[in-house]
Parts: sequence; C-alpha cells; structure tokens
Amino acid sequence: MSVHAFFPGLLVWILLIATSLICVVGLYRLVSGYGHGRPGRFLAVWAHEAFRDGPGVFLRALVLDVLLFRRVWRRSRRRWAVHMAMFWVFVVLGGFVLLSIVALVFAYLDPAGIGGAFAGYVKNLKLPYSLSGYVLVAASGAALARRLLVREVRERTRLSDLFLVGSVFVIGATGMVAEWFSGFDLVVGPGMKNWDLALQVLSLHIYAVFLLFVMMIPWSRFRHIVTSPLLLLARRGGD
Amino acid sequence: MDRFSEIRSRWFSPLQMLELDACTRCRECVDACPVVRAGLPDGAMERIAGWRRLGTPSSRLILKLVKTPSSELDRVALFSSLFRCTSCGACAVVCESGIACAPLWESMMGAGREMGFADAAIEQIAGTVVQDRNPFGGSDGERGAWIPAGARIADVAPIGLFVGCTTAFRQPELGQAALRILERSGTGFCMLGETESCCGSILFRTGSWTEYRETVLAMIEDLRARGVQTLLVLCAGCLKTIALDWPRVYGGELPFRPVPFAVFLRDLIQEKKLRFGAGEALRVAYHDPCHGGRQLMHRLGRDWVFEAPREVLAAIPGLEVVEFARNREHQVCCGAGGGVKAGDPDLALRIAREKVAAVDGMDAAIIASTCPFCRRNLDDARERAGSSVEVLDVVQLADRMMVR
Repeated sequence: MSVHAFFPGLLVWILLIATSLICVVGLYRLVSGYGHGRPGRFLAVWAHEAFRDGPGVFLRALVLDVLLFRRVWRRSRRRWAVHMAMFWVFVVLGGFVLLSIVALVFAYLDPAGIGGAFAGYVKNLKLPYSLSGYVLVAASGAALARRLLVREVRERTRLSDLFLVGSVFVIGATGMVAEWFSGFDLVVGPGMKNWDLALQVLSLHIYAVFLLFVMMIPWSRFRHIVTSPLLLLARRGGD
Repeated sequence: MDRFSEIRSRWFSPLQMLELDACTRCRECVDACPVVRAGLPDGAMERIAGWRRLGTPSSRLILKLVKTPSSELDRVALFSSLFRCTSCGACAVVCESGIACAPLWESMMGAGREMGFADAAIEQIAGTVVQDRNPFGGSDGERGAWIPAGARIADVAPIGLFVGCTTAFRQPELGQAALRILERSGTGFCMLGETESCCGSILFRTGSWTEYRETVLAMIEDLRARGVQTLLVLCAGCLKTIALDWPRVYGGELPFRPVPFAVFLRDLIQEKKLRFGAGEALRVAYHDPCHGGRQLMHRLGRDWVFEAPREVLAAIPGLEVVEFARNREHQVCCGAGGGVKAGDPDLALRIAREKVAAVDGMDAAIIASTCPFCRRNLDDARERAGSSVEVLDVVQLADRMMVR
C-alpha cells in the first residue's frame, strides 16, 4: 500500500500525463523566452558557452558544481547539507518513481510470465522510500524553519520562497506519513498500520508531487532546478 | 513584441535571460554587497527579483493578489538601486548559481535608460564624456599638460601606454612616475597623448555606451596604426574596459594586448632592468581594485591581476605587504566604481571609510593599489577621516624607490 507498492489508477495516469505536459510546455516557453522568441538561438549559445573550454571542463563543472554544489560548499556548509539532501533525495526518488512506473507496466503486462519479478522489485523499494522521506522532511523542515523563524531571513522571504520550501516539505511529509500508516516504514514499523488512512495520505502525496512540483517547475521559482545547473554549465562553474 | 520585450532583447543576451531565472535567493550577494553594508537596501538578489517583476505579466497578477508595492514604485526602487551599484562584482564571486552580475547590471541600466529611468548625475557625466571625450570636461591641451617637456615618446612603437583620464587630469604624478620608469628601463613606447579619449568605462558600466562606439573604434585604429602590440594600462577601470568591453565594440579580438602596468613592472624587476635602493621599513596594505582584479581574473588570469602587483611591492626593499582580511577576489570595494563617485559621492566615501578604518587597524602606513580612481576615493575618505595613512599607486611606490 505504500508509495512503492501503489498501483496508479486512471485518474493518477491522467494527472501524471497532464502535469508533465504542462511542465514541458512551460519549459519550452522558458527556453523560447531566453532566446528572445527563438529557442534554437538560446540552445546554440548555451552549447557554445558550455563546451567552449572542451568536454573536460564541462564534465568538471557538471560533477563539482552541478552535482556536488561546489559553490554552495564554499559559502556555507550548513546550506550545502540542506541543498545536497533535498537535491539528491529528489533525484533518488524521481529515479525510483520512473523505474517503478516502468516496473508496474511490466508487472501488468506480465511478459513471458516474469511480471511477478517486477512487482517484487516495486515492493522492495520500501527501504529507499523510507530513508529518503526522513532526509527530505528534515532538510525541507530546516529550510522552512529558517524562513519562518530567523528574522533577517523572514524579512527577505517572499511568497514564492515559501511556496518553494513549503511544497517540498508537504511532499516529503505526506510521503513519510503514508509510509507510517502503510506499515512498511522501517522506523515506525507495523504499529500504526491503517490501510484506509494510508491510501488517503498517499493520494495527497501523489497530488502534491504532481501539482506542487512537476507541474510547477517552469511556472514557479522551482525553475531554478533547471536554470541554475544550465547556467553553471554555461559559465563553466563560474571560475 | 511589446516595448519592454523589444528593449530587453536589445540589451540582454540569451545567457543573461537565463541568469535572471537562476537566482536561488541564497542571500550571499546581499551579505557581500558594499552598498548594502553602507546602509542602502536591495542587493543583487532583490534587484533580480525586481527586474523579473517588471517583465513577467503573470507575476504582475500574482503581485496584485498579494498586494506588494505597485509596479511603478518597484521600478523606481530598482533603478535607484542599480545607479547606486559600484559594479564591484563581489556578488558574482559569491553567487551560488554563477551569475555574472556586473554585466547583468549594465544591461539592466541600459534597458532602464531606454525606459526612461535615468540618473541625472550619471547622465550629466555621460554627456560630458561623449562631448569632451573625458569625464572632467577638460580640453585636449589639458589632457597632455602632465607630460614633461623632453619626454622621449615615439610616434610608432610596439609598446603603447594608455594613461586614462583620472591620471591625465587629476593625478599627473602617477603618469610622470610611469614615464620615469619607462625611460629608466630603456623602454621605447608610444602614447595617444592629447588624442587619447576616455576609455568609456563609465558609459559601459551604466549602459550608455552606444553613442561612444565611434570614439572607441577610432582609438583602436589609432593604436593599430602606431604598431602597438602591447598596450600598458595604468588604470584598472580602463584596463577592464579595454580588455572586456572594447572587443565587443570592435567585434572580435583587439589588434593589441592590454597588459596591466604592474605586470610590466614585475617583468622589468625580473629582468633586472629596474633596481631599487634601500628604503625605510613600511607596512603596505594592498587593495585589489575590483575592475582590475576579480572582474579580470577570468580574462587575464589570477597571476596577472592579483599576484603581479604584490610581487612588485614585495620586491621593493623595506616594504612589507600586509593583506586585508578579505583580499583578491573577495576584497571589499572602495566604493568609487559604477558611476557612484559621480552619482552619490557621499555613498562612495561611506564605503571607502570602512576600508581606511581597516587599514588603520592593520598598522599599515600605506594603502597601495593599481587604480587611480580607487586611489582618489580612498584618499578622499582618508582625508575626511583624518587618517595619516598614505594612498599611493604601486607605480608611484616603485618610482619612489627606484635607483636613479
């Protein structure tokens, strides 16, 4: 019943496809805007700048600056930990979600009678889901608390900042609570098991993921997830 | 295309458009900004947010819903903040997304001027530069007045010297020190002399350079015709403009290589063409000029912009180089750049006062730099603070200690 074992119904598929389409349209609109109406112009300029010093420099910027947040590390270890936690949990969860979707399709189609193996794979995702949930809630909770409780940060916080951190917190928290009620959670165990409640919270979690995150990436400040790495690559790490 | 989009497309490159969306609002730029530290609101982060609010219709709707200040007030605040920016580039060094802030502000200011948000003081000085080819309103005759009679200056030579307006009109002693060093080392060189014009720094920094294109091109052509291959530059602001902005106007690599005068000095010392006599023991605090330092470190290399002047000072007997707590690419701006010295002199002095106070705490007798404009502002702040510290250029120090 937990996220990894949830079999999506028609409504969820519609949600997934519709929000993904909205996301893609938004990304196209962004790229088009960056090229002053010509997306090809932007992509050509970006590629020229990103590879200007060769593929080695591009790779270095990709690993050190995009994946390991070198520039954040130089400024603040605390913020680096929060960034790393949120970024990598999202990457891990996103990767598993994609794999789960593929596995669920294969489990449903049951090619050559091995659909059960795919279903088993999906069930075994409870470990990464449980761990990721805690890391995500802790990191986004810390960021949210900083936005709300530290005066100088609060004074410079805009609605868009709160939406950003709040969305991640809601996504993490609903996923974590769904795991608790599912009885699969590694820390809480089966003590809080309540299938009906788990299903309801899980639905909230899924709606939150698609409506507050996937769909909103190009339409909110979540777009920095795309633009910041693109810029770091184009500026070859900024060094 | 609406008027805003049309203006934006003229001033912003595709990567700058990306930069406007890449801010993570981490606040590092605000903490690094000398203008914010001097008490003014709105650092780089708010400037980017302000610009985005101007140009995104959907966000205007959101603005109405959450009742933030009106767009007109936003615009006034944004452009006021831009014209109070020293364009020091400290924000770019600390930016976690790698936003190249200084060129972004220049584009914003250029677009802002077209939209009717100009700063009166900066407009006045920009007009003077375009009309008189220098920001001080001096004549061509005055420009060459600092050159000593009998100075051996060739008409044609592979080495050229670009002195800049501040030296020519306000700090002749710096130009004369450079000439003595060139003469003493037996270096043949040429100069534009009275036909030299302002490099256009303030015009490029404030987005008003388009009317100055022909003057820049004429100087490039003049230098090329004189056979200049290496252009020694005495001023950090001019150096940045020549190295970064002139190629944009010229449409490619310049036919000569701009070189900081401190690099030339270091070469002379290494080749033993310049010798120093024994001097009294003095502590010298080196101030890295923003335009000749962090803004050129990617273009000219850290060795040229940060290490060369320090090595020149270290080679002078008796001098002990001491560092500011924040140095090299992290150094704190003197407050003069980006048209602030002209547009808001009190702000420029408030920022410089912090620097002078830091030197007083370091027990240094001299602040050395490689920018006459920094020198001018730091000296004004020193005078106002009643500090006994001396503000000198590295070239002047080398000249003072040179064996004659």
